[in-house]
Amino acid sequence: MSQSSRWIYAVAFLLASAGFLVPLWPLSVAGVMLATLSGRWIFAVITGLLLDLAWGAPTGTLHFFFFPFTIAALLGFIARYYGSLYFLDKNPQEKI
Amino acid sequence: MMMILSRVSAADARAKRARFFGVVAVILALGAAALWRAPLSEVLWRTLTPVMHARFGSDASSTNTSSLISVTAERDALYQENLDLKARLNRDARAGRILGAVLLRPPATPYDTLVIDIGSDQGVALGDTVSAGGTIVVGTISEVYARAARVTLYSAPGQKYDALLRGVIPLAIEGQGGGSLQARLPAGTAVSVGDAALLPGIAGGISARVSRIERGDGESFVTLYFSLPADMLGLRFVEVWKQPNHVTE
Repeated sequence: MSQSSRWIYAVAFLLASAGFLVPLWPLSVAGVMLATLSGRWIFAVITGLLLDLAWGAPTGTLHFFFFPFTIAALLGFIARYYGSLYFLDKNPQEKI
Repeated sequence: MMMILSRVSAADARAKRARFFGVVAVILALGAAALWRAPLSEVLWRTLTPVMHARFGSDASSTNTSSLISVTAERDALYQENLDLKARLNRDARAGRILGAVLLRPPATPYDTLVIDIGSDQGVALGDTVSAGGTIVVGTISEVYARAARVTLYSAPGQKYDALLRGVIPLAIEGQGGGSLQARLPAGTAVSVGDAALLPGIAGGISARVSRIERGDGESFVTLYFSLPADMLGLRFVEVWKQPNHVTE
């Protein structure tokens, strides 16, 4: 794991957990989005799932579909995927 | 050249395979979380308990204990007097009560539901009214197991029940979730913030209090917003009311 990865994981987790403890959900969203937009989407999805379980769920049908943080992580992943097709550097200097 | 190409394609294939397994793992994790959300939440909250105690304190409801005790004593005395007066008129309005402890509350359970530690073994039945103590009613029993039951609060989304505003004006109240409820009344009805909605019947019980009134210009109805009379997140014990004895001697 590179040094930058360590920093990203640490900051993303700190933001997500701080958002839960304050509580201020936009901080948690920022943590999840930081992880997923930087390419750590599995970590982002796991964090999102944990946050969704911790925040709870409404009754009724939404009980099975209400996963806002996980959905945010997946949307971030999709955004990064399509962003990388058009905007991000597909041949970074260090891999040439 | 061929070797480089085959290496690149092998790496591509590995990346594709990893992505495929990643997507499958995410779908499985989401499915498991959707199906077993309540037990998973429970496990998570048990794990988080020390952290939450450190952050929010172990018992936030311990403030103003003395005033709470005196108010509760006064209420109990008035309630007893009410029952005695009804008994003098040969009407027994006492409901059989079973005390239960709250095992799980939101967010470890779906919003506006509780899990309590008494069930059919203790005589709890589907549809029994649940009170937070005294005459403060908060919901009904929606699922019964041998030694546990699920309480759906009146404020759960989609829950509808009939009530009497100030014990007089009939209205249908609908749960909105998060301890909030809503009802509509004709615009000319006299209503103010703090009015109580009572359950119809001899046992009665306060089920909600008006927290806000929304009057639109020229509209023929007003929208009333209610809140539960008890804090569902602070409940430790509840009472399950068996149907009151309506026998008139």
